[in-house]
Amino acid sequence: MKRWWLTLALAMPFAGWHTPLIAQRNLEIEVKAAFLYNFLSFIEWSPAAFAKPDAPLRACVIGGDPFGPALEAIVRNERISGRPVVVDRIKDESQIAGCHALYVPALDETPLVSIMRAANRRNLLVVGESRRVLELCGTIAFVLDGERVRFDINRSSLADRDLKANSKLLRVAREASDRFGHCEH
Amino acid sequence: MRPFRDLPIGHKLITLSVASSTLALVVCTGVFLTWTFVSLRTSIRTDLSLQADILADNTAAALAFNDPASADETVAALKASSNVDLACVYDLAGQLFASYLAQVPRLVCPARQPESGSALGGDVDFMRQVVFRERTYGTLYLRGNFGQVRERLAAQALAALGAIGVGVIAAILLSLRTQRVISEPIAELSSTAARISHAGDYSLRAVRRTDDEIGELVETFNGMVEEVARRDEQLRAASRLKDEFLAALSHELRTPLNAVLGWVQVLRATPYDPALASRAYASIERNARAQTTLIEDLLDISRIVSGKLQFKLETVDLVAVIEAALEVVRPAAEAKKIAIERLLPASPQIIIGDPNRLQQIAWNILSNAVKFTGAGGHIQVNLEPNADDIVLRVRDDGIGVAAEFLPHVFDRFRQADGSMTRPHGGLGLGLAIARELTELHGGRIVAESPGVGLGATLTVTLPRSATRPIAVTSSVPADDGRLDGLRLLVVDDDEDTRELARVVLVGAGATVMGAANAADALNLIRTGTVDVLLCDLAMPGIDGYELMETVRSGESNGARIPALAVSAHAGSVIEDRVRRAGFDAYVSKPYNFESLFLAIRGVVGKS
Repeated sequence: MKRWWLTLALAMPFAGWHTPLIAQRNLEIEVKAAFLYNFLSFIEWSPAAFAKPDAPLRACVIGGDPFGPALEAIVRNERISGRPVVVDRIKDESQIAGCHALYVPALDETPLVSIMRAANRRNLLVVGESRRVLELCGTIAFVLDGERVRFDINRSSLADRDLKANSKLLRVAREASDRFGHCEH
Repeated sequence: MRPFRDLPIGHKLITLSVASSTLALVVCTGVFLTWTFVSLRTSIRTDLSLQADILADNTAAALAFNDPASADETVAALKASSNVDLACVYDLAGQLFASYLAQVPRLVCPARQPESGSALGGDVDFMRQVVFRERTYGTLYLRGNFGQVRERLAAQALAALGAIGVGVIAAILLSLRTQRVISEPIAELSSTAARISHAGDYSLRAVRRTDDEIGELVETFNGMVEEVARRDEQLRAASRLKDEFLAALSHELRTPLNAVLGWVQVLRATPYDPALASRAYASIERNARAQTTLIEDLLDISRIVSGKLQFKLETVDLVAVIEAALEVVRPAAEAKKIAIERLLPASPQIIIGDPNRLQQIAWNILSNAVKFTGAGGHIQVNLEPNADDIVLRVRDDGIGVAAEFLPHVFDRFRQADGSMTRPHGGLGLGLAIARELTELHGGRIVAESPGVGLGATLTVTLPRSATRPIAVTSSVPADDGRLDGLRLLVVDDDEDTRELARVVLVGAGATVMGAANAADALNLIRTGTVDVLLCDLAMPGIDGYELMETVRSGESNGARIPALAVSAHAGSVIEDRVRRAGFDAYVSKPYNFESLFLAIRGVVGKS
């Protein structure tokens, strides 16, 4: 039910108070939040990634918090494969232990590399905002195609991180390949 | 158009055969087409359902990540399936997200999600939630058609019709040949029956060709035809016998009359010559008696056959009976110089039987033996008493009996030679009567003969019913034939008869009065001068019975007139009636005078 409301909210333009650009920017956030959550459905972790069958899926957002309450709103009371989803906001890479998925906002090269180095030592899903993330063995990167939010998928990253992506997800991606760059452990 | 049941059998069989084949084919085809129809629809439905499931599954990501192009692409795969009219994918808001349209004019997906799949119309529809990992992302609607079914079914129905046509033709051809197996034997039997019936030719037979009910019918039919043929032959034989018998009867009846009439004419024409007269009387008497015997025999046979012959069972000395019979044939035997040898027991042999009939048996056999033995021949008469029965054996050395005729010797009217030129006269009744009488006594009679010209032996076995010897009175009492002193009244409407009786009775010493009718008789009786009444039963007006009853009712105590009834009719029915009317005895005409005198004396003696 919540989902439906969100989609309705997404469908309705924020006419009136916001400038088109701001409205668009808010819409983009909403969509990304929804997509992020959906990624969690379409990705499969190995059972070893979880302590118990009903252990929660931790989705971590590092650095800034572009989503605001949108993400929590989406994940509240939802379950993926029987697991509750929990959203954690973490300051830096030292806290990424225990995350199953990590969202990395747009960052400069240095902090990005540092985060990615930490992230690459673990089997977690990394969702970023640039192609550079994918080159650094990130898994999914959002991309704006005109007004539409789309994403690319680095398949080598999936393989390296012991993650499986549903084929439908791969099909819907703008680009899903292993040309972005090898991952090193 | 004739009703079905009047068609020839062959046509019936063909019609039935073809009709049932056609029915079977039609039913079969109907069932098959129906099954095809149902199963095609089911399979299309299943197929579309599967497709809907797959699509629902495959469009989840497109819906989740808001990629209508991807959804369109996925849904476009339905192009391969000709059963799909359209497919519509709606997002969670109920907005049209993606669609596939087959080439159906004016058919589009509604912009907003419909209530249910049936809103889309079509032959079949599906609605599926697009779900992935327990999350619903949208709704899919699929509309299909059964056009394929209609095409396929039409093609199959046409083919089936053709097949039925071929099948019916094959059925007709086959049954044209095979119906013959049934109809031909029937037709053959039918035509044989018609031929036999029309031509009256009972020598024809139907041919049995099959081992079924028709074959049985043929056998039964032939059996019946044989029976008909046999009875036909029997009828002809009986008719021939009857003709022979009538011819013989006519001859036998006329011959004695010839003699009688002839001699009468001679006597009239010739002046009185005692020797001639004597010969004449003898011949006339002999012939008359012969004719009487003939008629008695005929009557006996008739009575026996109709079961009206009655016996008087008494204790009888068979020796006496045989001796009496021998006495009767003696003249005829002496005339042919035939020697009769008697081997009879000295003591009386008692059996229970009818004395007259037993004598008749013996006389018939002896007379037969005399008739068929040539001059100078030899007859042996043997009486063998046994514990339970007595055997009479008469052996002669006469012309014997041919082996093939031996079984028929006792048949009525049968003679070995039935032609008009046969040397021996008679009607062939003697032995038949002898057999009937023997069997009525509970006995057996057997004829044996070595062959023609070698003589014959007749053996009669009679059971004794009682063995105690009792004092036996001879059945033929002595009689001196006198009636002296008796006053007799003869009542008869026939003057000749009255006259004859008067002459005879007066000759025996009686006084005779005559009355022509009952009234005169009564008058005379009332005068009280009548000792014995001799009354003819058959008179016009008041008959003998009535007269007697009247006489008896008018008699007071003690004054009972002895009365004899005389009649040309015979039989025990008459005797009963006679006694009931009040007569004391009964004499049948023609009577011989000894027995008449005896009877008169008998009734006088009783009163």
